[in-house]
Amino acid sequence: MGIQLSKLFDKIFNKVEMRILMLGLDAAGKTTILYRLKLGEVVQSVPTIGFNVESVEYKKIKFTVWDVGGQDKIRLLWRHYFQGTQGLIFVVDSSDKERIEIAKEELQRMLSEDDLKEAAVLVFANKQDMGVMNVTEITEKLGLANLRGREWFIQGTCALSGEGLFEGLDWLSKVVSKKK
Amino acid sequence: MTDPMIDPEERDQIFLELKKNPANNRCADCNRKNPTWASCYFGILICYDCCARHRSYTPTYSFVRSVDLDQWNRKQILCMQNGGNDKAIEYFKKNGLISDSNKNCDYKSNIAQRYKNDLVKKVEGIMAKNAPAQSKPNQASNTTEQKNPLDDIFGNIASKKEPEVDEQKKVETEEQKTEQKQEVVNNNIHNVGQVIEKKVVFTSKKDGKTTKKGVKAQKVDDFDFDNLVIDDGSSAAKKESPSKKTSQAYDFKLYEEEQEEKKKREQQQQQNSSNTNYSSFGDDQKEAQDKLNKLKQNNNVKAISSDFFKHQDQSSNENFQKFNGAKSISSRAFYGEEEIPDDDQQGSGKKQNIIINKMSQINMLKIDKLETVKNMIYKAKDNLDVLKNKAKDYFNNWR
Repeated sequence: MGIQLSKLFDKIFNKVEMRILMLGLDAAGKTTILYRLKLGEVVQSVPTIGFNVESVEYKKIKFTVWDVGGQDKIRLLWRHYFQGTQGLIFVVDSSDKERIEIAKEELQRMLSEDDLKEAAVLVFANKQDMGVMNVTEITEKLGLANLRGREWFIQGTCALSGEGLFEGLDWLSKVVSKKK
Repeated sequence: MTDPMIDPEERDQIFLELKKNPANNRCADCNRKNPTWASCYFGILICYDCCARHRSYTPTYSFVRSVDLDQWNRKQILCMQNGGNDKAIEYFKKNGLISDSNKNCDYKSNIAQRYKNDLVKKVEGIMAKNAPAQSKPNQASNTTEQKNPLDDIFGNIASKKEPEVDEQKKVETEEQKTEQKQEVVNNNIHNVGQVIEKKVVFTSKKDGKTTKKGVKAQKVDDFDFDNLVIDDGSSAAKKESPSKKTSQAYDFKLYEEEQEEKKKREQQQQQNSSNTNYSSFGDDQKEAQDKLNKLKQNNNVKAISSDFFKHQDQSSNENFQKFNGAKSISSRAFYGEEEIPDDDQQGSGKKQNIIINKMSQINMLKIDKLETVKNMIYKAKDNLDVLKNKAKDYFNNWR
């Protein structure tokens, strides 16, 4: 009888898992966002050589977030993390007008990959507190409006204050529960 | 103007050269050996730990690049070559940003930023000087064209010149009468005639014969008349081999004009391509663009979803007004679609019902089992009592 009970509880309370890949140009704030989500505090991060991975539980969903470095040479390795990714978080530095074009190229290149066909795309327009580019501007500059056949969501965030981060995860959790 | 990235090999070579300076072999902030990161617009090399602090300033204040992991463009490399740890440290010490006791330089401060801006300006100056040198081949090709056109060019120039003259008139003197216009046209043609005459003389000197060669209309387009006159006026010998002695100001002018033309062409191409896109893809992209424009008017949008750009009725406009000032927009709420069941509301309600049902079933089972156990206990008690009585009887009998 005990076994039956535990099975029942598993069914009711079991946590959905979601594999998330977090990418973006260097110094966009990926690692800061990851540890802001995990620890709830701001860490002064060194450039990620390789990757960080943490699991974050939110709304009964276990997000396994992979944060891969954004240096030019490491960007070539991104594709090795694509397989099995359900959600892609693309972090953009809203204060960096010079490199938004590069960010667009990287994003578009990734979205053309087969392994990421199923992935929902969440764009974090980070560093909104700097007040340089707003969400609409970034939507336009990344060419999101012309993305066909893909679910995307752009959220203005500030990793230092934590603003907007969980709203983004909200959307991801909804996408996951919709697919189930 | 995109600055192309330089080869990794060239980059490595440059940094090898840079590190021959002993000051560049130590972190600018903490003096640790062998720094592999750089704040490129400051022109300083820093270590892995110190770059964390630099990155926290955000790229607008201090743009951190890795010496071996990042690609560098010409401007950044030039900043490194013209900067250097020794120069930066000397400047910061002079201005009191760092001292022997305080080694944490405030890179966000105005003084430090001024150093950065000065360095960038200097580098941009160097790049501007180099840029016209790169454009000289174009100039040379122009001059070669000038040799060929002789008789035919006159007709071409005249026909090409007229619309230009018209434009000039529009800009300069809108109120001038048509008679004056004719005069101007005549004058211009006269000028062109002079130019051509000069050219005829020049070519006849060199070639000794005049040949008729077809002139392409495009080339005449690129042809700059003002410069042509200047060139002819200066010296004929310069034309054949455009030496570096030609005045810098003139080079700059040409370069700037070329850049402007390029920009205009690019813009036109973009417009054309976007137009064709719209027409070929139908209304889809137009709609997306319209929606973007609408979003632009609203500064308060903090999040946008893909559903917002899906093909929708016109009622979306009204909906958009409804969400004016919202922090984020859920596309489903926006279009009145069925909301994804929130775990807190509907979904959990259903789950609760299931749980209650299951629990009650379990409880019933439990109660059943409990009663059987109770019965057994009662039975056991009865049995015990019987045993006790029996034992008492036996005891009494034995006595």
